[in-house]
Amino acid sequence: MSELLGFSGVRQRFSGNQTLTLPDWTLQRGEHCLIMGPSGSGKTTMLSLAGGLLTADAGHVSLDRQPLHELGEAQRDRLRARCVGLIFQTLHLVSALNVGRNLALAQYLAGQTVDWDRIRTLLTELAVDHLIQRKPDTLSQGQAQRVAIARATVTSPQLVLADEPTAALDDRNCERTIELLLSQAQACGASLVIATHDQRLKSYIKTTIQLDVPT
Amino acid sequence: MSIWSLTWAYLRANALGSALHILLLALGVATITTLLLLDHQLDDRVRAETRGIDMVVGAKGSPLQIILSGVFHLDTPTGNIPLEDVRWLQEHPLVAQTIPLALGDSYRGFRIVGTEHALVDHYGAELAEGELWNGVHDVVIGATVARDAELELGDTFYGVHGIATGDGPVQGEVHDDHPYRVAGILAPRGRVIDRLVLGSVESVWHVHDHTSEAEGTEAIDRQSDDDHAHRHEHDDHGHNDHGHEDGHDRRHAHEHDHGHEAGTDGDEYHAGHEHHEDGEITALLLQYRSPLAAVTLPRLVNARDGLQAASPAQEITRLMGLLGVGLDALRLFGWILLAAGGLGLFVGLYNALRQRRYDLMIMRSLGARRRVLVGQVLLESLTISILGALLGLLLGHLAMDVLGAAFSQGRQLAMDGRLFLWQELQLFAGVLIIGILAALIPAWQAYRTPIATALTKP
Repeated sequence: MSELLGFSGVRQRFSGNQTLTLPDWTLQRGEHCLIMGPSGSGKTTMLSLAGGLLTADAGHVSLDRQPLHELGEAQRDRLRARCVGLIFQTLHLVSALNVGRNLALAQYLAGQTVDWDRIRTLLTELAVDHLIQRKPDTLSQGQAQRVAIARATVTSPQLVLADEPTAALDDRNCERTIELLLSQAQACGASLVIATHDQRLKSYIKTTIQLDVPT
Repeated sequence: MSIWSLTWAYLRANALGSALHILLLALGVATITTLLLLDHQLDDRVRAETRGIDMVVGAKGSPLQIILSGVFHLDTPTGNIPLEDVRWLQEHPLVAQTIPLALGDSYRGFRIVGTEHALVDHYGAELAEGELWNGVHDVVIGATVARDAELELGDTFYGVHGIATGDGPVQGEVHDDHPYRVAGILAPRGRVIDRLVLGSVESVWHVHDHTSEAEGTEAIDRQSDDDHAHRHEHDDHGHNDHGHEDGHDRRHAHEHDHGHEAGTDGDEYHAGHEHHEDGEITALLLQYRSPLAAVTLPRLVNARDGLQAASPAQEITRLMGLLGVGLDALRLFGWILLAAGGLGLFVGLYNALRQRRYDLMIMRSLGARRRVLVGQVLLESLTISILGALLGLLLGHLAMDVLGAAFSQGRQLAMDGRLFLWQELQLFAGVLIIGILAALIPAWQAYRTPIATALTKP
C-alpha cells in the first residue's frame, strides 16, 4: 500500500468570503472513501482539489506523490489525464461525438492509444453497449450515468472521483450504480472517492470524511 | 481518434452552420476576386492597346479623341492629315517607326482601316488562314469580324461609308463599285484588332475615288499590286470629304503645301497633281527613336498647322483621372465588402467557437494538452477559412468568366476569368489570418477559465 492522495493543511476560499478548512487526509492506493456533508460544506471543492481542477490557496495536495501546487497548469492536466477519472454531477460529454467516440476521445487525450476492444467491453459490462453510436443528448438519465462511469474508467485511472453519482437515483438504481462503480474501480485497481450526501452509500464504503458547513 | 477526426466530427455535427460560414466567406472573397480580375484586365487591356505607340498624330482637335479613335477605334476621328505632314514625320530623325491609319468606311459595324502590314505586327496578330493583303481589293479581317459577319476566305463584300463607333452597323452610302475580298483571317488576339477590317491605305482612297469608275473596274483584276495601286492615288481625292467638315476645311487651308511638297518627293503616298485633294490619312501611329523625342516632338508637331500630337500614356492617365471618382468608389465598395466578409467570418467563427468553450473545458478535464485544444480549434477554423476562400476564388473566377462572356464590352476587350493574380494569394492569406484570429481568441479564453468553475456547477 502506498499513498495516492494526501491533503495537509488545505484551506480554500469559496463561495464569497467563506474559507473552507479541510482536514488532513491521506488515501492509500486501492482504498475507497466517501466525502460526506451537507450542501455547501465543500465536497465538490475537495474533489476539484483532489483532481487538480483547482489549486489550494494554502496547504498542500499531493497526487501520486506529486505536489499539485508545484506543478504548472499543463502538467496538472497531464497528471490528471494519466491518473484520474472524473464523474461529474452532470454528464459532460462532447456533443459532436457519439458515445463510443467520446470514450475514444478520453483515451486519446490521456495520451493512450485508442482501444476499441476495451471500449466495447466496458460498455457491455455496464449494459450500454447498444448506445455506442448514440449522441450524448439522446441518452436518458440512467444511461448517461453509466456512460459517465465508462468514460471515467476507460483510461484505467488510479483514482476515480465521483460527484453525487447517486443523488437522483431510486434505491434500486442507486444500488446498481454503486456496484458498477465499485466493480469498475476494482477492475482497474483504482481508488474510488465519492462526494455525496447520500447515506445509502455508507453501507458500501466504510471510510468516510465528514465535512461541515463553515461558519 | 485524432484532432482531424474530432474536427471532422464537429464540422459534421454542425453541417448547416459550417456550410453557411463557408458560403458567407466565399461570397466576400468572390466579390473581391471578381473586382480584382475586372480591374486588372481593364487596366491590362487599356495598357496593351497603347503599348508600343509613343504618339498618335491626327488632325487638330481633342488629343483624347485622337487616342480613342486611332488606338481604341471607339470615337470618330478629328479629321485628316495631309501627306506632306506624314512624310515630314516619317523622315523626322526623332521618329523610329510610323503606321498610317486611313479611316472612313465600315462593314456591318466593323471599321475598315487602311494601313500597312506593320499594324498587324504591332498587334502581334497572326494569320489563321490566307495571307496579308496586297493591292486595293484584298483585306484581312479580325477573328471577331469573321465570326460575326460570317465572312470566309475569298468572300467579297462592299464597305459602307461612315465610321463605326461600336454602336452597330453604320447607315451610309454603300460603295458598291469597290468590292473587297477577304485575303486573310487573323487568329483571335483578344484585342481591338479582332474587330477590324484591314487593307491598304490605297484601297481606302480607291473606294472614295468616285471620279474614276473605270479604274475601279480595272483594279478588280487580280494583277493589281502595290505599284498599280499607287497609280490610283493620283486621281484620288481623299476618302473623308463627304462626312467631316472639319477635316475638309483644314484640307483646303493646306492645299498650297501639298503642291510645294509634291515637287520635292514622289513617294508612294504622295499624290502631287493639280487636283485639289491629295491622299490623306486619318492618323499616324508613331514610335520615338529616343526618349528625347517625348520632350521635343509633340511641340514640333503641334506647331505645325492642322496637326495634333496625342500621347496615349498621358491621355489614358487623363481618362482614368476623369473616371477616377467612379473607379475609386467601386474600389472602396469592394474593400467595404471585404471588411464585411472578414468581420462576418470572424463573428461566425467566434460565436461557433465560444459555444465550444464548454467542450474545451471537458477536454481539459480529460487532460487535453494545450496544443491539442488550440490545434483542434485552429484546424476547424482553418478548414472553414480555406474551403471558403477556395470556393470564393472559384466563384469569383466563374463570375468574371460569365461577365466577360455575357457583355459585348467584355467580349470586345477579351475579358475572362481564366487568369490568376498574385493579389489573390494575398486575399487567401488574409482570409487565413482572419480564421486564425477567430480561433485563437476563444481558445485562449477557454484556457483562462478555471475548469472547476465551468464543470462542477450542476
